Amino acid sequence: MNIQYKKGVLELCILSLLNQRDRYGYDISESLSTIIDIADGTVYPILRKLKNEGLVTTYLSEESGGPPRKYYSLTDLGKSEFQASKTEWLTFANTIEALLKEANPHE
Amino acid sequence: MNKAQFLQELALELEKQKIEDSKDIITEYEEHFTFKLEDGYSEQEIASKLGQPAEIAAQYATFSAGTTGKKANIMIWIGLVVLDIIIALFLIMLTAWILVMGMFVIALAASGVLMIFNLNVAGLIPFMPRVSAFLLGIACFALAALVTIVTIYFFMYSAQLMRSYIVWHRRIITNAPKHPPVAKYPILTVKQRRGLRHTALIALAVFGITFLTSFITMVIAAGFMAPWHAWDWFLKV
Repeated sequence: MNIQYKKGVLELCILSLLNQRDRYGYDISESLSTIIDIADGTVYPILRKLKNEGLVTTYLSEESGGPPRKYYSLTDLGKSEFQASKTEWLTFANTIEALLKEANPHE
Repeated sequence: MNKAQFLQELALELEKQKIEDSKDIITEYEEHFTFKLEDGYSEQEIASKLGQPAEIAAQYATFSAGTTGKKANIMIWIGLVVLDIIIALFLIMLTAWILVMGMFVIALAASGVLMIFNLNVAGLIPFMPRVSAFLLGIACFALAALVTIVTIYFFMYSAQLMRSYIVWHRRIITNAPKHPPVAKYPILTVKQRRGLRHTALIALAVFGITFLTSFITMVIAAGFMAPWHAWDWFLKV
């Protein structure tokens, strides 16, 4: 699949995963790599960027019988950004789909 | 490579890119190795799936561009201010040019009217046969039309260039992620483009033909290849 499509949408996917529930970095990386074929390492820089922009925040959670894990969670800003981006993406995808179908009326 | 090699190289690359909190980042990737190993992957597999440390470090570099380096920010601001000044000067020149073109068109149109309707206001029109004047008048109008079209397109082009610049400017300031650039040329429909081109070509053709025939009639009337000499157009008063 075209790498440019993937890159544009990674942030949105990550926000979407976090919107479902708080997750730690590895969880996000694994979930994402089952959906899109990307290098595992791509996720962490994006998470840092989202944190810099104030869209996500982190906290340490004590897991029984293990070292504390760093959990990522959406801030209020992150939640509203996600909703906005989600709408924008879906609208965009619909527009492109309509265009592509228009180009070949026989399909 | 194995886990130790990967983390070592990553640390090196992060340092090269002057990334802050590199310790934090290394810890995160260390965790990643730990969990993946628990899931049964080998260190080599994990390292290869992570990608190249150099590329990862590069990504951190682009992402932290907005927050690090007060110095970098100041440089960007200075650069933008200089650019803005240059663009402002360009805008002033552009306006002046368009004004000049506008006056030229008006002057042409006025001359055209005078010549076509045989109104020799203030002795502006030099001596020439009625027919020549008429044709030359039409030529003036055609040229005026042509210059108007060219100026209009030029104006639209500059407006679009301005728009593109403003968007780029805004993105630099807000450090927006990479978007495709805004078009620098005016977006016209095929019909509009065709219409403009046809009108321009017609104006050009009309101008060429009328100017030429006017000249020919003048030569015939004067019996001389340089009618303006025969009729003393350019003599000092």
